[in-house]
Amino acid sequence: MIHHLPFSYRPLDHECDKATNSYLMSVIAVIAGLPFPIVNLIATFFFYYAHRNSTYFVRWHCTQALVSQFLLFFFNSYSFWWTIGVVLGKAELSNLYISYMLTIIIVNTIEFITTIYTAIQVRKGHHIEWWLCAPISHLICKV
Amino acid sequence: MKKVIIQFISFLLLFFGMWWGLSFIDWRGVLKVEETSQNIEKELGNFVWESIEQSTTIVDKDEIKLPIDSILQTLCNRNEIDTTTIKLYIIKEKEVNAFALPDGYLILHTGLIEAVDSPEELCGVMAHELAHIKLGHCMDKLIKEVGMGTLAGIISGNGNLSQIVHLLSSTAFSRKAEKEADIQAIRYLLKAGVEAEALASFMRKISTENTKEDAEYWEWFSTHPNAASRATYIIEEAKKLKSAVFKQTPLLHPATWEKMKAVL
Repeated sequence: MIHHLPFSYRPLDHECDKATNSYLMSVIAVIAGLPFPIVNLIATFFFYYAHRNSTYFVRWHCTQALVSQFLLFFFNSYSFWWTIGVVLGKAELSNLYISYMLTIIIVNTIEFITTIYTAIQVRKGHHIEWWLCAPISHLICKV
Repeated sequence: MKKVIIQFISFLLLFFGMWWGLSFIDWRGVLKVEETSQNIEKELGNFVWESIEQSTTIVDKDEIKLPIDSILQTLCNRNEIDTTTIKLYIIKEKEVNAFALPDGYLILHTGLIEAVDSPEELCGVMAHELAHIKLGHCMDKLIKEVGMGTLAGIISGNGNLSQIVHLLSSTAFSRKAEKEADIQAIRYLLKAGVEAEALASFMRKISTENTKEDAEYWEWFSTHPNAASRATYIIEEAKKLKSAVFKQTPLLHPATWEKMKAVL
Protein backbone atom coordinates (compact mmCIF):
# COMPACT_ATOMS: atom_id res chain seq x y z
CA MET A 1 0.00 0.00 0.00
CA ILE A 2 2.91 2.37 0.72
CA HIS A 3 6.32 2.00 -0.84
CA HIS A 4 9.71 3.31 0.19
CA LEU A 5 11.37 4.28 -3.07
CA PRO A 6 14.44 6.24 -3.97
CA PHE A 7 13.81 9.76 -5.19
CA SER A 8 15.49 11.30 -8.21
CA TYR A 9 17.68 13.35 -5.87
CA ARG A 10 18.40 13.69 -2.16
CA PRO A 11 16.13 16.44 -0.78
CA LEU A 12 17.49 19.14 1.47
CA ASP A 13 16.32 19.69 5.02
CA HIS A 14 14.01 22.64 4.26
CA GLU A 15 12.38 20.63 1.45
CA CYS A 16 11.68 17.75 3.85
CA ASP A 17 10.15 20.23 6.29
CA LYS A 18 7.75 21.69 3.71
CA ALA A 19 6.84 18.29 2.30
CA THR A 20 5.98 17.07 5.82
CA ASN A 21 3.78 20.09 6.41
CA SER A 22 1.70 19.23 3.36
CA TYR A 23 0.71 15.96 5.04
CA LEU A 24 -0.01 17.75 8.31
CA MET A 25 -2.33 20.12 6.43
CA SER A 26 -4.37 17.13 5.33
CA VAL A 27 -5.10 16.16 8.92
CA ILE A 28 -5.63 19.70 10.18
CA ALA A 29 -9.37 19.27 10.58
CA VAL A 30 -8.82 16.32 12.88
CA ILE A 31 -6.32 18.33 14.92
CA ALA A 32 -8.70 21.29 15.07
CA GLY A 33 -11.61 19.00 16.00
CA LEU A 34 -13.78 20.04 13.06
CA PRO A 35 -15.98 17.36 11.45
CA PHE A 36 -16.18 19.08 8.06
CA PRO A 37 -14.53 17.13 5.22
CA ILE A 38 -14.01 20.26 3.13
CA VAL A 39 -11.66 21.82 5.69
CA ASN A 40 -8.95 19.20 5.02
CA LEU A 41 -9.26 19.61 1.28
CA ILE A 42 -9.16 23.41 1.38
CA ALA A 43 -6.16 23.47 3.73
CA THR A 44 -4.25 20.97 1.60
CA PHE A 45 -5.16 22.79 -1.60
CA PHE A 46 -3.94 26.16 -0.30
CA PHE A 47 -0.69 24.58 0.85
CA TYR A 48 -0.26 22.95 -2.57
CA TYR A 49 -1.01 26.28 -4.29
CA ALA A 50 1.43 28.15 -2.08
CA HIS A 51 4.21 25.70 -3.01
CA ARG A 52 3.38 25.17 -6.68
CA ASN A 53 6.68 26.76 -7.67
CA SER A 54 8.77 24.98 -5.09
CA THR A 55 11.23 22.12 -5.68
CA TYR A 56 10.12 18.82 -7.23
CA PHE A 57 10.24 16.92 -3.92
CA VAL A 58 7.97 19.46 -2.19
CA ARG A 59 5.58 19.75 -5.17
CA TRP A 60 5.32 16.00 -5.52
CA HIS A 61 4.44 15.38 -1.90
CA CYS A 62 1.99 18.33 -1.81
CA THR A 63 0.34 16.73 -4.85
CA GLN A 64 0.15 13.30 -3.21
CA ALA A 65 -1.39 14.83 -0.06
CA LEU A 66 -3.94 16.76 -2.14
CA VAL A 67 -4.85 13.72 -4.26
CA SER A 68 -5.46 11.60 -1.14
CA GLN A 69 -7.76 14.28 0.28
CA PHE A 70 -9.59 14.72 -2.99
CA LEU A 71 -10.25 10.98 -3.33
CA LEU A 72 -11.79 10.78 0.13
CA PHE A 73 -13.63 14.10 -0.04
CA PHE A 74 -16.72 12.85 -1.87
CA PHE A 75 -17.13 9.79 0.37
CA ASN A 76 -16.62 11.89 3.52
CA SER A 77 -19.03 14.58 2.35
CA TYR A 78 -21.70 11.98 1.65
CA SER A 79 -21.26 10.59 5.17
CA PHE A 80 -21.44 14.11 6.64
CA TRP A 81 -24.73 15.04 4.95
CA TRP A 82 -26.23 11.61 5.60
CA THR A 83 -25.40 12.07 9.31
CA ILE A 84 -27.03 15.52 9.31
CA GLY A 85 -30.12 13.89 7.82
CA VAL A 86 -30.18 11.23 10.55
CA VAL A 87 -29.70 13.79 13.34
CA LEU A 88 -32.53 15.95 11.95
CA GLY A 89 -34.82 12.95 11.55
CA LYS A 90 -34.99 13.13 7.75
CA ALA A 91 -33.11 9.85 7.34
CA GLU A 92 -33.34 6.65 9.32
CA LEU A 93 -30.52 5.22 11.42
CA SER A 94 -30.48 2.18 9.17
CA ASN A 95 -28.10 -0.76 8.90
CA LEU A 96 -26.90 0.64 5.57
CA TYR A 97 -26.02 3.97 7.21
CA ILE A 98 -24.16 2.34 10.10
CA SER A 99 -22.16 0.09 7.76
CA TYR A 100 -21.32 3.11 5.54
CA MET A 101 -20.09 5.07 8.56
CA LEU A 102 -17.97 2.12 9.68
CA THR A 103 -16.45 1.88 6.20
CA ILE A 104 -15.70 5.62 6.27
CA ILE A 105 -14.13 5.34 9.73
CA ILE A 106 -11.94 2.42 8.61
CA VAL A 107 -10.82 4.16 5.42
CA ASN A 108 -10.12 7.47 7.17
CA THR A 109 -8.24 5.72 9.97
CA ILE A 110 -6.02 3.97 7.43
CA GLU A 111 -5.50 7.29 5.66
CA PHE A 112 -4.70 9.07 8.93
CA ILE A 113 -2.15 6.48 10.05
CA THR A 114 -0.59 6.46 6.58
CA THR A 115 -0.42 10.26 6.56
CA ILE A 116 1.30 10.46 9.94
CA TYR A 117 3.76 7.69 9.02
CA THR A 118 4.53 9.35 5.70
CA ALA A 119 4.98 12.76 7.37
CA ILE A 120 7.56 11.25 9.75
CA GLN A 121 9.41 9.41 6.96
CA VAL A 122 9.39 12.39 4.61
CA ARG A 123 10.84 14.57 7.39
CA LYS A 124 13.76 12.15 7.47
CA GLY A 125 14.21 12.60 3.74
CA HIS A 126 12.68 9.31 2.63
CA HIS A 127 10.43 9.20 -0.40
CA ILE A 128 7.11 7.41 0.20
CA GLU A 129 4.67 6.52 -2.56
CA TRP A 130 1.07 5.57 -1.84
CA TRP A 131 -1.01 3.08 -3.78
CA LEU A 132 -3.27 4.93 -6.25
CA CYS A 133 -2.23 8.43 -5.08
CA ALA A 134 1.39 8.11 -6.27
CA PRO A 135 0.61 7.23 -9.94
CA ILE A 136 -1.88 10.13 -10.07
CA SER A 137 0.73 12.45 -8.51
CA HIS A 138 3.31 11.34 -11.14
CA LEU A 139 0.82 12.25 -13.86
CA ILE A 140 0.10 15.70 -12.41
CA CYS A 141 3.51 16.68 -11.12
CA LYS A 142 6.32 16.80 -13.63
CA VAL A 143 10.02 17.38 -12.91
CA MET B 1 -2.55 6.02 -17.08
CA LYS B 2 -3.71 2.43 -17.36
CA LYS B 3 -2.23 1.72 -13.93
CA VAL B 4 -4.17 4.67 -12.46
CA ILE B 5 -7.47 3.48 -13.94
CA ILE B 6 -6.97 -0.10 -12.70
CA GLN B 7 -6.00 1.08 -9.21
CA PHE B 8 -8.91 3.54 -9.10
CA ILE B 9 -11.42 0.84 -10.05
CA SER B 10 -9.82 -1.46 -7.46
CA PHE B 11 -10.19 1.29 -4.83
CA LEU B 12 -13.88 1.71 -5.65
CA LEU B 13 -14.44 -2.05 -5.57
CA LEU B 14 -12.66 -2.31 -2.22
CA PHE B 15 -14.63 0.59 -0.73
CA PHE B 16 -18.06 -0.57 -1.91
CA GLY B 17 -17.15 -4.18 -1.24
CA MET B 18 -16.32 -3.32 2.37
CA TRP B 19 -19.58 -1.37 2.72
CA TRP B 20 -21.57 -4.23 1.19
CA GLY B 21 -19.85 -6.80 3.41
CA LEU B 22 -20.43 -4.79 6.58
CA SER B 23 -24.09 -4.28 5.71
CA PHE B 24 -24.74 -8.00 6.24
CA ILE B 25 -24.21 -7.57 9.97
CA ASP B 26 -27.27 -6.47 11.96
CA TRP B 27 -25.67 -3.33 13.40
CA ARG B 28 -28.98 -2.03 14.76
CA GLY B 29 -29.19 -5.19 16.88
CA VAL B 30 -25.53 -5.12 17.89
CA LEU B 31 -25.69 -1.45 18.89
CA LYS B 32 -29.18 -1.89 20.43
CA VAL B 33 -30.57 1.06 18.46
CA GLU B 34 -34.24 0.13 19.00
CA GLU B 35 -33.74 -0.33 22.72
CA THR B 36 -31.89 2.99 23.01
CA SER B 37 -34.51 4.95 21.08
CA GLN B 38 -37.30 3.36 23.16
CA ASN B 39 -35.41 4.33 26.31
CA ILE B 40 -34.99 7.89 25.07
CA GLU B 41 -38.70 8.08 24.26
CA LYS B 42 -39.61 6.69 27.69
CA GLU B 43 -37.27 9.09 29.52
CA LEU B 44 -38.49 12.04 27.49
CA GLY B 45 -42.16 11.19 28.01
CA ASN B 46 -41.62 10.92 31.77
CA PHE B 47 -39.58 14.14 31.88
CA VAL B 48 -42.19 16.13 29.97
CA TRP B 49 -45.09 14.67 31.98
CA GLU B 50 -43.35 15.45 35.29
CA SER B 51 -42.85 19.02 34.12
CA ILE B 52 -46.55 19.36 33.18
CA GLU B 53 -47.68 17.63 36.40
CA GLN B 54 -45.85 20.18 38.53
CA SER B 55 -47.65 23.11 36.93
CA THR B 56 -51.21 21.76 36.59
CA THR B 57 -53.95 20.09 38.61
CA ILE B 58 -54.64 16.46 37.77
CA VAL B 59 -58.30 15.45 37.82
CA ASP B 60 -58.70 12.22 39.77
CA LYS B 61 -62.44 12.22 40.46
CA ASP B 62 -63.85 8.81 39.56
CA GLU B 63 -67.00 10.39 38.08
CA ILE B 64 -64.79 11.98 35.41
CA LYS B 65 -61.88 9.54 35.15
CA LEU B 66 -63.74 6.24 34.95
CA PRO B 67 -66.11 7.07 32.07
CA ILE B 68 -63.28 8.52 30.00
CA ASP B 69 -61.10 5.56 30.86
CA SER B 70 -63.85 3.19 29.71
CA ILE B 71 -64.02 5.04 26.36
CA LEU B 72 -60.26 4.57 26.00
CA GLN B 73 -60.55 0.90 26.98
CA THR B 74 -63.21 0.35 24.27
CA LEU B 75 -61.06 2.13 21.70
CA CYS B 76 -57.96 0.12 22.60
CA ASN B 77 -59.59 -3.28 23.05
CA ARG B 78 -61.47 -3.13 19.73
CA ASN B 79 -58.23 -2.11 17.98
CA GLU B 80 -55.98 -4.61 19.77
CA ILE B 81 -53.92 -1.88 21.41
CA ASP B 82 -52.33 -2.78 24.72
CA THR B 83 -53.99 -0.40 27.19
CA THR B 84 -50.97 -0.54 29.49
CA THR B 85 -48.98 1.35 26.84
CA ILE B 86 -51.35 4.34 27.01
CA LYS B 87 -51.21 6.65 30.02
CA LEU B 88 -54.36 8.79 30.14
CA TYR B 89 -54.40 11.93 32.27
CA ILE B 90 -57.04 14.61 32.61
CA ILE B 91 -55.79 18.04 33.66
CA LYS B 92 -57.81 20.97 34.89
CA GLU B 93 -57.35 23.56 32.15
CA LYS B 94 -59.86 25.91 30.49
CA GLU B 95 -58.31 25.57 27.03
CA VAL B 96 -60.04 23.18 24.66
CA ASN B 97 -57.02 20.98 24.04
CA ALA B 98 -55.75 17.43 23.97
CA PHE B 99 -52.27 16.28 23.11
CA ALA B 100 -49.98 13.29 23.03
CA LEU B 101 -46.54 12.95 24.57
CA PRO B 102 -43.80 10.40 23.85
CA ASP B 103 -44.13 7.02 25.53
CA GLY B 104 -47.91 6.88 25.22
CA TYR B 105 -49.08 9.81 27.33
CA LEU B 106 -52.54 11.04 26.29
CA ILE B 107 -53.51 14.30 27.96
CA LEU B 108 -57.01 15.77 27.93
CA HIS B 109 -57.96 19.21 29.20
CA THR B 110 -61.21 19.58 31.16
CA GLY B 111 -61.96 22.44 28.74
CA LEU B 112 -62.14 19.92 25.91
CA ILE B 113 -64.37 17.53 27.85
CA GLU B 114 -66.76 20.42 28.57
CA ALA B 115 -66.73 21.43 24.91
CA VAL B 116 -67.69 18.04 23.43
CA ASP B 117 -71.39 17.24 23.09
CA SER B 118 -71.25 13.45 23.21
CA PRO B 119 -69.01 10.56 24.27
CA GLU B 120 -68.56 9.84 20.54
CA GLU B 121 -67.06 13.28 19.92
CA LEU B 122 -64.65 12.79 22.81
CA CYS B 123 -63.83 9.34 21.48
CA GLY B 124 -63.06 10.94 18.11
CA VAL B 125 -60.53 13.33 19.63
CA MET B 126 -58.97 10.54 21.71
CA ALA B 127 -58.76 8.31 18.63
CA HIS B 128 -56.93 11.09 16.78
CA GLU B 129 -54.39 11.59 19.57
CA LEU B 130 -54.05 7.82 20.00
CA ALA B 131 -53.20 7.62 16.31
CA HIS B 132 -50.41 10.19 16.79
CA ILE B 133 -49.00 8.00 19.59
CA LYS B 134 -49.23 4.73 17.69
CA LEU B 135 -47.80 6.21 14.47
CA GLY B 136 -44.80 7.61 16.39
CA HIS B 137 -45.50 11.21 15.37
CA CYS B 138 -44.47 12.71 18.73
CA MET B 139 -40.85 11.56 18.55
CA ASP B 140 -40.67 12.28 14.80
CA LYS B 141 -41.83 15.84 15.43
CA LEU B 142 -39.39 16.39 18.28
CA ILE B 143 -36.43 14.98 16.35
CA LYS B 144 -37.27 17.13 13.31
CA GLU B 145 -37.83 20.34 15.29
CA VAL B 146 -35.23 19.99 17.97
CA GLY B 147 -32.77 17.33 16.85
CA MET B 148 -31.66 14.14 18.52
CA GLY B 149 -28.65 15.78 20.09
CA THR B 150 -30.76 18.34 21.94
CA LEU B 151 -33.19 15.64 23.11
CA ALA B 152 -30.34 13.59 24.53
CA GLY B 153 -29.09 16.75 26.25
CA ILE B 154 -32.48 17.44 27.80
CA ILE B 155 -32.65 13.91 29.18
CA SER B 156 -29.23 14.36 30.74
CA GLY B 157 -30.35 17.63 32.30
CA ASN B 158 -28.85 20.16 29.94
CA GLY B 159 -31.58 21.72 27.90
CA ASN B 160 -34.76 23.69 27.69
CA LEU B 161 -37.59 21.36 28.67
CA SER B 162 -40.22 24.11 28.40
CA GLN B 163 -39.47 24.33 24.67
CA ILE B 164 -40.35 20.63 24.34
CA VAL B 165 -43.53 20.98 26.42
CA HIS B 166 -44.67 23.88 24.25
CA LEU B 167 -43.78 22.02 21.05
CA LEU B 168 -45.83 18.97 22.01
CA SER B 169 -48.84 20.69 23.58
CA SER B 170 -49.25 23.80 21.47
CA THR B 171 -47.95 23.31 17.96
CA ALA B 172 -49.34 21.31 15.06
CA PHE B 173 -47.84 18.22 13.53
CA SER B 174 -47.06 18.36 9.82
CA ARG B 175 -49.99 18.28 7.43
CA LYS B 176 -48.96 14.78 6.37
CA ALA B 177 -48.87 13.59 10.01
CA GLU B 178 -52.29 15.13 10.73
CA LYS B 179 -53.82 13.43 7.71
CA GLU B 180 -52.28 10.08 8.70
CA ALA B 181 -53.64 10.51 12.23
CA ASP B 182 -57.10 11.45 10.89
CA ILE B 183 -57.28 8.34 8.70
CA GLN B 184 -55.97 6.06 11.45
CA ALA B 185 -58.46 7.64 13.88
CA ILE B 186 -61.28 6.79 11.45
CA ARG B 187 -60.13 3.15 11.45
CA TYR B 188 -59.99 3.10 15.26
CA LEU B 189 -63.45 4.66 15.55
CA LEU B 190 -65.11 2.32 13.04
CA LYS B 191 -63.64 -0.76 14.77
CA ALA B 192 -64.88 0.60 18.09
CA GLY B 193 -68.38 0.95 16.63
CA VAL B 194 -68.31 4.76 16.52
CA GLU B 195 -69.30 6.78 13.45
CA ALA B 196 -66.46 8.94 12.10
CA GLU B 197 -69.03 11.73 11.91
CA ALA B 198 -68.28 12.25 15.61
CA LEU B 199 -64.73 13.44 14.86
CA ALA B 200 -65.90 15.42 11.83
CA SER B 201 -68.58 17.21 13.83
CA PHE B 202 -66.05 18.24 16.45
CA MET B 203 -63.72 19.54 13.69
CA ARG B 204 -66.63 21.62 12.32
CA LYS B 205 -67.44 22.88 15.78
CA ILE B 206 -63.92 24.09 16.53
CA SER B 207 -63.65 25.79 13.14
CA THR B 208 -66.75 27.89 13.95
CA GLU B 209 -66.06 28.42 17.67
CA ASN B 210 -62.61 29.72 16.89
CA THR B 211 -64.08 32.89 15.41
CA LYS B 212 -65.91 33.77 18.62
CA GLU B 213 -64.86 35.90 21.57
CA ASP B 214 -63.48 33.04 23.64
CA ALA B 215 -61.47 31.76 20.68
CA GLU B 216 -58.26 31.98 22.73
CA TYR B 217 -59.38 28.87 24.65
CA TRP B 218 -59.88 26.80 21.49
CA GLU B 219 -56.27 25.72 21.39
CA TRP B 220 -57.07 22.42 19.70
CA PHE B 221 -57.96 24.53 16.69
CA SER B 222 -54.54 26.18 16.55
CA THR B 223 -52.86 22.79 16.80
CA HIS B 224 -55.21 21.31 14.18
CA PRO B 225 -55.43 23.77 11.32
CA ASN B 226 -57.88 23.56 8.40
CA ALA B 227 -60.44 21.87 10.65
CA ALA B 228 -63.40 22.57 8.36
CA SER B 229 -61.79 20.98 5.29
CA ARG B 230 -60.54 18.07 7.36
CA ALA B 231 -64.10 17.39 8.54
CA THR B 232 -65.06 17.00 4.89
CA TYR B 233 -62.34 14.50 4.00
CA ILE B 234 -62.89 12.59 7.26
CA ILE B 235 -66.47 11.90 6.13
CA GLU B 236 -65.28 10.92 2.63
CA GLU B 237 -62.58 8.59 3.97
CA ALA B 238 -65.01 7.02 6.46
CA LYS B 239 -67.36 6.12 3.60
CA LYS B 240 -64.48 4.22 1.91
CA LEU B 241 -63.31 2.46 5.09
CA LYS B 242 -66.66 1.59 6.62
CA SER B 243 -67.46 -2.06 6.23
CA ALA B 244 -70.90 -3.46 5.45
CA VAL B 245 -71.03 -5.13 8.86
CA PHE B 246 -70.37 -1.91 10.81
CA LYS B 247 -72.58 -1.76 13.86
CA GLN B 248 -72.75 1.35 15.99
CA THR B 249 -72.32 0.61 19.68
CA PRO B 250 -72.95 3.09 22.47
CA LEU B 251 -69.86 4.08 24.44
CA LEU B 252 -71.47 5.29 27.66
CA HIS B 253 -74.85 5.29 29.28
CA PRO B 254 -76.36 8.78 28.84
CA ALA B 255 -76.78 9.12 32.60
CA THR B 256 -73.07 8.41 33.18
CA TRP B 257 -72.17 11.03 30.58
CA GLU B 258 -74.51 13.64 32.06
CA LYS B 259 -73.20 12.97 35.57
CA MET B 260 -69.61 13.39 34.38
CA LYS B 261 -70.41 16.69 32.67
CA ALA B 262 -72.20 17.89 35.78
CA VAL B 263 -69.23 17.11 38.03
CA LEU B 264 -66.90 19.02 35.66
